[in-house]
Amino acid sequence: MRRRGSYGSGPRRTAARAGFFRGASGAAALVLSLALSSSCSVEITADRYALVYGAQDYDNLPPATTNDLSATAYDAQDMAAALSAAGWTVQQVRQPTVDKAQIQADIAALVGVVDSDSSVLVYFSGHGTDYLGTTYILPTDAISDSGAAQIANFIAPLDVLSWLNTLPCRNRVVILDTCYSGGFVAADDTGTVDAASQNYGVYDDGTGASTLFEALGSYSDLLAAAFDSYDPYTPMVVTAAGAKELSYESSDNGVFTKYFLESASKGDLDGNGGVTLQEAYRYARGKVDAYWNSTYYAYYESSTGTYADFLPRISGNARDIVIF
Amino acid sequence: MLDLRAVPLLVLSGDGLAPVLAHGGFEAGAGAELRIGRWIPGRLQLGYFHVFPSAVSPAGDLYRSFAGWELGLAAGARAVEGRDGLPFGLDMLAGFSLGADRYPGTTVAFASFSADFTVRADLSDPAGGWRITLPLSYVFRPGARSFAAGLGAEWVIPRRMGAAKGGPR
Repeated sequence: MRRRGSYGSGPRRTAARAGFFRGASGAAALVLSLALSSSCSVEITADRYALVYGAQDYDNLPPATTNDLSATAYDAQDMAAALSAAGWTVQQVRQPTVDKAQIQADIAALVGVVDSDSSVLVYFSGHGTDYLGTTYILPTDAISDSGAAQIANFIAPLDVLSWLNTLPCRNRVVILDTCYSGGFVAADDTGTVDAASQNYGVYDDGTGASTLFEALGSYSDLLAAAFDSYDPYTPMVVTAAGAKELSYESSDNGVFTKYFLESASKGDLDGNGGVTLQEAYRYARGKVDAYWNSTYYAYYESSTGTYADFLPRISGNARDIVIF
Repeated sequence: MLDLRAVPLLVLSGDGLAPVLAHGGFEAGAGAELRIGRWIPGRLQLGYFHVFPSAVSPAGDLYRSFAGWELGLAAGARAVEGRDGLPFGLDMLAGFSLGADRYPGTTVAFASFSADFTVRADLSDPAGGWRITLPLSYVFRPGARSFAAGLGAEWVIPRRMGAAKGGPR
């Protein structure tokens, strides 16, 4: 089933699309607070660098084949434009092909460029998979010309973490629009818990009181974590989907990316002139739930045993950062 | 004695890496306490708090908004007694609170612990009426520490509103 039109789309970034992946498991606002938090416009003086990737042409066999995606190149182009307009220096845009080694080299090339106040953002749009219980994002060289999986070129959360750890900057941001990408949030140990199921269903409620009930359910562990000072360099991560969910694309952008980009103009929830990562996430999550999940929650992907509804995720860092 | 309170908060947060930045916030809740003479051997309070996002640093980072429920235990004493029939008196209490928190608008939950110190001043009869409260808290939460100071009001619910009592008039 492959829908077209406005957010009618085919299954996207699903490992199950590539045959060889089937082996992989598939008034309260007080004057004081207003004065402190909402009245100032945002002025950022530090350098901010972005690396943007759209993995689309997976097996180099023209024309587009079953492993190829159709909108990730647009995702990369549009994200680069939006970040550039917001003052980010877009150091690299790679699409429709991108290799694992290129991503690693692009990050390494920033070592002598960034300083302690700088921010680095990595955006990746493409396939993702869950292989032997670990989430990976897949650059285009993760699939050979013959269509075979090149597991050595899969990119795991620890790969990204180790690459980013070479940078001296304090703000590191990772945004992923792939299937199963929530595994990258889960791998970020911030002493918090994601109260929503990693395989979200439209009837789940991870947004309200159940969030706190989840906290109470593992309270002793969470309380111990409250006293820990996790590495403050830990990347802030936003993903399109949970660790057990697929994500999708339309003809112009990924569903998540479309709304994340839209947040640049509509997501300033506190009206302070800047859109933070959390604000962009909240905007995109709300739209995905309202416009995608409400329509496709009953669509069942037999190849992966999952439904088409999905929920964007965000890591539990204490800090946030202005994105747009 | 039972009381209700509402407190605007000024919060300073830091994580040892980014600058310490200020947030605004508020807390509302209810408490019950036991008084024995000048001593307050036990106070139990339940509150909801909401801390708004912090100011933005020149690097573009900030501390996230967080909110949740907290259950606190405290003990203390009346440090200054009202004199000559005046209701004015000053209480000091120390204790701790356990919080169940979340980042608003997300599905991310966490726990917090705070060490609390509170100074209260009666504005009327301490057995029932208004008082000013000045709570100070040092909050342990994942990846950051926050210092919260508030200046708010408490309403002490009279034990028997309107009931006639013996004694001089």
